[in-house]
Amino acid sequence: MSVVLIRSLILYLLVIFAVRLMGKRQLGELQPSELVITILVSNIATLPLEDVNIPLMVGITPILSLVCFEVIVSWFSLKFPKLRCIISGRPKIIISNGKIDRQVMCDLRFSVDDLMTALRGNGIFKIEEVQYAIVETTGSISVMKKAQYESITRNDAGYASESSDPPQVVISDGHALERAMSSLNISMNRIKSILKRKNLEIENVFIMTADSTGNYFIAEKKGKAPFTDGAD
Amino acid sequence: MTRVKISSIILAAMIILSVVSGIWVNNSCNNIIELIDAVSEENFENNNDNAFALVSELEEYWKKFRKIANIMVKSDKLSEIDRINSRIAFLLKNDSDELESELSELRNMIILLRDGERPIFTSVF
Repeated sequence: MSVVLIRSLILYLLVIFAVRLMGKRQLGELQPSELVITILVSNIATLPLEDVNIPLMVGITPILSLVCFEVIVSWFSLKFPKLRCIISGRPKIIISNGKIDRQVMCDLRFSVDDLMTALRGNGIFKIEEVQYAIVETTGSISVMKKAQYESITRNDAGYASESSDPPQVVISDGHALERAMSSLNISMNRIKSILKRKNLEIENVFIMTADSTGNYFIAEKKGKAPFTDGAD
Repeated sequence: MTRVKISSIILAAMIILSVVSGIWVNNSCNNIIELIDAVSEENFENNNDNAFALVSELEEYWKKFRKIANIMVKSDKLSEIDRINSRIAFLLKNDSDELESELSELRNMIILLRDGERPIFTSVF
């Protein structure tokens, strides 16, 4: 029993390490090779767990080697586009200029229902709104609407707007996050002076967000109404 | 790039480890086969004292080998060899007719174990 427990812990850590080594990807955005590796790793990891006669090394070696192969092959495919095409395939244009390419649909074994489901997933319920659609190598569909169906933007309306990065959490549950502060170029003294004006200490703050333009939001631990303020 | 470096290091380490372990298993199995052959020869020539000494040497060698081999070889393979190995001394003591057949079986199992770890066509596919 304890052997299984220790093995489980080791394999748990190993699988986490393997997934971290593969990098950040959403499950639905996996490339074909990554999907294969993910399925293989999950299957292989169960073998030494189920059978204590199988040495742990027999499970560890294929997991590590498969993940390492994947990382190295993906690096090579980054350097050599031809290799990338072989491994991941090419995106396919399924709708161009509003016309559905049936041949591509046949090649991809894409039914009308699949197409409609994918369009609905993109917030499009009328196929006539689509100007251009492309099936990505991950299997997801990217869609561009016809100009007349696109939402109006600030630019179209001629409103001036300033782009800035979204706010970041600088204090979380009474702890100052120095990494966020340095990325926003805000010093600890500045944070403290803002809090002082509100009669607060860092320890009393549940959450504080700030952005590079100087706007901030502060919520106390006591649950009082949050403070928001602009650049000052 | 860090991930590629880590992966390359892990891969290189595993290649080195598998080559070293392969060589170690190969050499150890060859030594065990030599010991089995020597026991068989001494038994054939009725040199029981030498045969006993060789059997105890074989048992010691096998114990040492098994400890490390357990990390990389399925334990049911090793258990089968354990079973035969533990009978050799007893059969020799009783001057049993089964000794030669058991030695031959043990030899074949060691050869199978050795060849199973060699990256040759038949063991890969």
